[in-house]
Amino acid sequence: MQRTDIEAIASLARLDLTPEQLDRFATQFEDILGLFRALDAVDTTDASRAATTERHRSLREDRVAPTLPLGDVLANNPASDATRFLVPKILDDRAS
Amino acid sequence: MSASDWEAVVGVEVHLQLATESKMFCGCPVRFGAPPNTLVCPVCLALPGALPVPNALAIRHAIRVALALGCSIHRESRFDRKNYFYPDLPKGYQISQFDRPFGYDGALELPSTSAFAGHRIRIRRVHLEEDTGKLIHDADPRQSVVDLNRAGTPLVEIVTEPDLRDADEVYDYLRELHLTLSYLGVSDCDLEKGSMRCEPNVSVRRRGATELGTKTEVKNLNSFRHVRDAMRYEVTRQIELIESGGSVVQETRSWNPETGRTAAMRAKEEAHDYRYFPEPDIAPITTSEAELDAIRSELGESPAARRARYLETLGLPSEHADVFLHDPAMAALFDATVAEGADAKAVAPWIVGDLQRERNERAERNASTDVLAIAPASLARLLALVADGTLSTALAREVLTAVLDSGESPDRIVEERDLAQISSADALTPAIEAAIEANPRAVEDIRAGNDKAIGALVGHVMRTTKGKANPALVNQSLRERILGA
Ligand SMILES: [Zn+2]
Repeated sequence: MQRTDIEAIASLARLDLTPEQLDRFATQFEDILGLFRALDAVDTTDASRAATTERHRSLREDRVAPTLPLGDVLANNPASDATRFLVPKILDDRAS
Repeated sequence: MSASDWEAVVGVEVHLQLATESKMFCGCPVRFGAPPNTLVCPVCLALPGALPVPNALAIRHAIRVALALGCSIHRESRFDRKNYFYPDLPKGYQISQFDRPFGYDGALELPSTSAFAGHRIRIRRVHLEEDTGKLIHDADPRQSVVDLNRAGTPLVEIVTEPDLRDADEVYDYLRELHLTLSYLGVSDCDLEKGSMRCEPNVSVRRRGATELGTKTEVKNLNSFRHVRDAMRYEVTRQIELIESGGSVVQETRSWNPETGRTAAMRAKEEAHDYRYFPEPDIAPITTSEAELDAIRSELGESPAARRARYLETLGLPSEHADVFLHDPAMAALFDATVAEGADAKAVAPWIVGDLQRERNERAERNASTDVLAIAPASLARLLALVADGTLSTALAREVLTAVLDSGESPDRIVEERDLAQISSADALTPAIEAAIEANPRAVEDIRAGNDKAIGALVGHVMRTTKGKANPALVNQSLRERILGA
């Protein structure tokens, strides 16, 4: 795991990391990946992915269920105009 | 280099909003035009701890679309997370499908009526995903508003291989796709409402080249004509750019129908790193052979099969076949009338012409009669009365109107109104003699070789018989009397 990989992932996650944090995360990611490499070494040719999850079909029928009252929907929202969420204008969206 | 040294390479992504009652992963209603943020719950708001549960009907609809497009079906399909940040996406990821979509490796063939007849446009994949909310850019220059009613609405995405080369070919593909989808009953397929959205990926390359050029994706296209115009513009723009020494940037561009141009939206480079991974909250979806058979058996006749039946088996002219292909109610009446024994080529113009006119007239005066609800047996009987000479075409139209108004059978109306055509020469004799007596000039003219003069005499006979005389017979009898032939 390179420091540049961490920088890229951090930027996709909108995280500003200090140089010290970048170095520390690079080491920690390398440790985590090492654990997965150990798991990868196990022979799983006979085990399908589904075998690890519940076999029953957890689907729902197409039926309408109750929705949240508007007050609850907007309750934890830092900015709204009484019915809608307000967000900063998307500056790189030059179209429309 | 000239434009003909270049070739366009286009693939198309279509998003189809499914006509379900509830959303893809929660029970919120799917409805257009509700007050903002009233159709939401903890799942589609992405509140912590809320878990998605897939809508079984949406899955059946997606498989139905895949089968109709000739796709193979992954018997074990899977949902994945597509990660990106945008204010209309509350979870910070969209639940979509990556390497196990419901359908893959299908094709749609362009119809015999297209200039590109027989072209097979390969379908790479048909997958299911959830829609985003709506981000609205109001007048405020610093803020946008978000309505999450649409968030979580089930969408089927249909992706072609880059098999299209021409703007008209793209147009024909979209029309045939729209027709095929509209037969499935899985969506209202309404472009203006955004139920069907088309996004072409456009690139160009020098003719003969095998590798693909850099592509741009065009959005904001709410009619097939816009797709065609935008593609033409984009191809020209890219060729000019390359020929003047520049290079195409991979980006999303927005079509502006007013200026007839595309403009860059957001550059894709980093936004395109979606870091897909399997959705851990949803088990893989397995579909049994029995379930697939059940969905297959509900598919019904495809537009392609119906077109072949009308044009090739029944020999209809393409303008009639086309009306039936796009009007299921008319097609149903047509099929039922043919099943009653009526001649297909004779029925078609009655439905496309006369019934359509009755339909329009009734719509104009706000009458509630559904003319297409006429009993197929009645329509078949009416045509039989024309075929055996009982009714002239003009009187048959009158009977048709009466059948629609009263719901009575054609035979009953012919009897009540005494409309049966006079088809015996003897019965016509008095009227023929009266016409000859009343029009000596016309008779002279006919004897002198002016054949057209017979019109006046035929008209006279039709008037005295109130239109019930068989015109062919009147013509023949008049000639026999006057010319002795
Ligand atoms: Zn919901």
